[in-house]
Amino acid sequence: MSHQSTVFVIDDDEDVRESLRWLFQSVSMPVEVFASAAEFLAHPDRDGPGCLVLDVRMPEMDGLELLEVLRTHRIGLPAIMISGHADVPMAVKAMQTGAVDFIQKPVNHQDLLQRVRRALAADERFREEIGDPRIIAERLEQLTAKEREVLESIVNGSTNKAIAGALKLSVRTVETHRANLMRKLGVHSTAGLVRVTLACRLRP
Amino acid sequence: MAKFDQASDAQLARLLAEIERAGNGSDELTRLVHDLQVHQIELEQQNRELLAVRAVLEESRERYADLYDFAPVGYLSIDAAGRIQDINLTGAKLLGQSRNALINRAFSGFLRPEDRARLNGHIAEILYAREPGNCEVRLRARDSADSVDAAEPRTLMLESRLEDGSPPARIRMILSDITERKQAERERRQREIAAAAAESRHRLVSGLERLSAAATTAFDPQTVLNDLLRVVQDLLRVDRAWLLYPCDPDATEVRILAQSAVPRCPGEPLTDRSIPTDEPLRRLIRSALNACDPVQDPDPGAIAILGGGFAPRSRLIIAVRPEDDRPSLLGLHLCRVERTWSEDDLTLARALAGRLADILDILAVRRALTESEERFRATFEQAAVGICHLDRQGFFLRVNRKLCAILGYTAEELLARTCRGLVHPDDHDDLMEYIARIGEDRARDPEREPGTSQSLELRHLGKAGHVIWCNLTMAAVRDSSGGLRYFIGVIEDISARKRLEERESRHRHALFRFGRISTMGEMSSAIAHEVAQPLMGISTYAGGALERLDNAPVDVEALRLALHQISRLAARAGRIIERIRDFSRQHAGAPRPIDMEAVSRAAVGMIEPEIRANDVKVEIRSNDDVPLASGDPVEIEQVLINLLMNGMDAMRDTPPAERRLRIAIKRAGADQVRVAVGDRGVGLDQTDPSRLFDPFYTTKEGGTGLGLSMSRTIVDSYGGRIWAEPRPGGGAVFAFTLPRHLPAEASDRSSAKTPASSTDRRLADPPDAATGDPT
Repeated sequence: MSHQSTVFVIDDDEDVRESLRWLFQSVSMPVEVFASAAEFLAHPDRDGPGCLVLDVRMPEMDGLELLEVLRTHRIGLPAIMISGHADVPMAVKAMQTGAVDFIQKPVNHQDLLQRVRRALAADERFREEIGDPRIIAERLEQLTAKEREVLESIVNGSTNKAIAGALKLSVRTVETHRANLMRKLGVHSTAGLVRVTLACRLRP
Repeated sequence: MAKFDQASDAQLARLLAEIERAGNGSDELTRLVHDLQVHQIELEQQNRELLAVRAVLEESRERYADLYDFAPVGYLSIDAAGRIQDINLTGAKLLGQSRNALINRAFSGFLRPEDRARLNGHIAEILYAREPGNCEVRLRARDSADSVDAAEPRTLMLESRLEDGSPPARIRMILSDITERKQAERERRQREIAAAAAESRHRLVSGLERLSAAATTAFDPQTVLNDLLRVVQDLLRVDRAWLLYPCDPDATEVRILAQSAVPRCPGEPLTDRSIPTDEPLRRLIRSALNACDPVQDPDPGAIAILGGGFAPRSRLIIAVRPEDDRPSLLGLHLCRVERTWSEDDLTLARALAGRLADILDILAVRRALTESEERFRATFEQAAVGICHLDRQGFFLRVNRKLCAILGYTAEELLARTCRGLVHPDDHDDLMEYIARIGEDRARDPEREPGTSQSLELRHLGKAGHVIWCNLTMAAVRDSSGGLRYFIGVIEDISARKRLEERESRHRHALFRFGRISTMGEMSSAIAHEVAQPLMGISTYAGGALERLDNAPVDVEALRLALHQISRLAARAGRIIERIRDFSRQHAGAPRPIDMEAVSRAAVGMIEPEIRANDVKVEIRSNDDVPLASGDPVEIEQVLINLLMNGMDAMRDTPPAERRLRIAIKRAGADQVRVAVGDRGVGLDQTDPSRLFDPFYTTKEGGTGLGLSMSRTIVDSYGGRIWAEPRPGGGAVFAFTLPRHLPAEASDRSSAKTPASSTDRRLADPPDAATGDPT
């Protein structure tokens, strides 16, 4: 962790962008502002540590599209979406796609600060307990389809035997998959396996 | 006799004298004389007897002569040349001449010339055969003045025989006048003929009657034909009768329409099968067509084909010629025995063929009627639409299957009902009015056909109580005097169409709403975003500033910067709001004179599908003294649509029967028109009256909160006002006023401009009492 956790603000409205910079500076949080997703992606610190503060509605690319782009770039930072009036359905969708948090305009500054702090803390804890989310994401992507299935079952609390029955595999094969999973994800216990998976699920 | 006696007496005396002179008393002589005297006595006695016999004979002879002469029959003797040799009086009288004048006259001269040869033949035959014989001849009409007889020549029967012995040969004839007998015989024969004719006529008449009866006992043409042929076969006493169609030599094939045969008649019947016409059959057909009368015993070859391979002994064919069709051929067979077809048979056959032709015509008409009836029945029964006949009370007289299917009742159930009873109560009035109109149509305007183009869409209630949307088209059926006989109703199930319409309407509704949401909603969203941005900035700067104030030391320059930003952002927000107001002002059209009633109708028309879908009744009440209002008709229509839609939305939970919207148009004060839309919905209890017309204020799920706000903007822009109030009895009244249209002011837009105060005023409050509204 070479850098201090930073709040990355992405908003097309300059006034909003600058006011947010002012707010985070007021509480001495490192902050970087970007007018667009593309601008952010070009930034060297885009992998964090830190969190994202995004406006749901932006002219070129809305917040959801931005989340998609971040995901394809394996940006594993927690995000806080700021939504305007009547964007509730979009907010729900945003939650479903895995954005950490969602806050509606007009924003109460204390509320926003609290959520940002929480997101930063979550990011830090993840990095401590699991590792670099970018690396974890890369590792998860390396899993085969069968290993993913086995992992899903393990996280749901199934025993090897039950997994073997459900997936029509031998118990020995399931055990082999489990060993491979732990090796690939760099964890040494089933608990670690579950933690990594759950943690990643909560992230974009 | 006396002379003879005298001569013998003299002789005897002389003899006796000689004897006395010679012997004179000798015994011998005496004995001789005595013997002689005995002889004399015997002779005298014999003589007396002879005289007696002679007298008897004389008498007998005279009697026979009388018998001959006065016999009731004529006696005639002729010689071999036919000349009269002897004739009795009766005969002479028969010939009309005196007996003497007749002797040696030729008998044939008295006969009619045409009978003379017969007499000569008769005579020759008698002479030759030497046997008695008879001959009938007629006498020539007499030349006498007694011409009455001339018309009626006497007929004589000659009974002839050759007379015995004597050459030259003579023939004796008995002539008897058989004129009367002949006449009687003729009369008897005539009577017999008459009786036979009567019998024949009876046969004919009864035959025709039987034929006619057969034609009427059954209705099915085939049965009738079979019956007819059975009658024909029976009447003519033939073994088989058949009817072939067509009797046309150019037909490629023919068919036996019907046939009838006695039991065990040889040959198979050929009914129900086409027979290709070959040359013998064509000849047969031609021969029948060319003859007026029945053709007797035609070529058996063709008949054998028709007779199922059996060649009948006697045959009769006759063409049956209906007026309206090609001829048929009637054929009659006698299979076992030969018959000479009597005149009677032929007459009967001819008559039967004639009647058969008539019946075929009738059958053709009947068949056409049957077909027409069947077509009608098929049209009626198989129709894809419901069809019924109704009496003037609306009772079903006749219903078709489709109607039963549509309404879910059996035909019997329907026939016990009136159509009114099957119609949704809400549509009763429409139906009765419609029926009345159809019923009166013709009475009012006899030239006009009953209005088949007019139809009525109404709701029928199915047996299960469900609503079936139907399109009813009725027409009145009248008798020749124009009196109503019954109604024909065509009922089409348009539920599917209605469903489609409703779906379309929902679709339109959705589109309409979408339009509102997407234009107004989009706008509101854009406004919100536009306004939210500077507000967010302000709030964030302020929040940051507060944070900094909590953390000493305070960088005043930094705070100044933040406050500066806040001030700038507030100005930005103000500009946005100003722009929105400008935007809504652009929408206000130039005021024009508008007829509020017409605009109301147009607005109702625009949302007709929604009104129907929501089962709402809309009523427009306009007072007569309402002046023209001033505004843009399209925009005011929008306002009305908005209020009507709100009203409908408010009545979602109102029972359908009470869902009523009323548009009341009144004059308000001197210079205003007031339009109120009253509903019977949820009312205003759940709303904040002070915010009702605020943008984005809504109590409806999915509402934008812009409808009333926009309405207010529009109404305000024409110098009117809009407000809401509770409706006495439940629901709400949304009312607005518009200034009365004054031509002079039409171009003076400024006077109608929204006063600045109107935006400040809470327009949910009822306006002043000038409008006369209840509060």
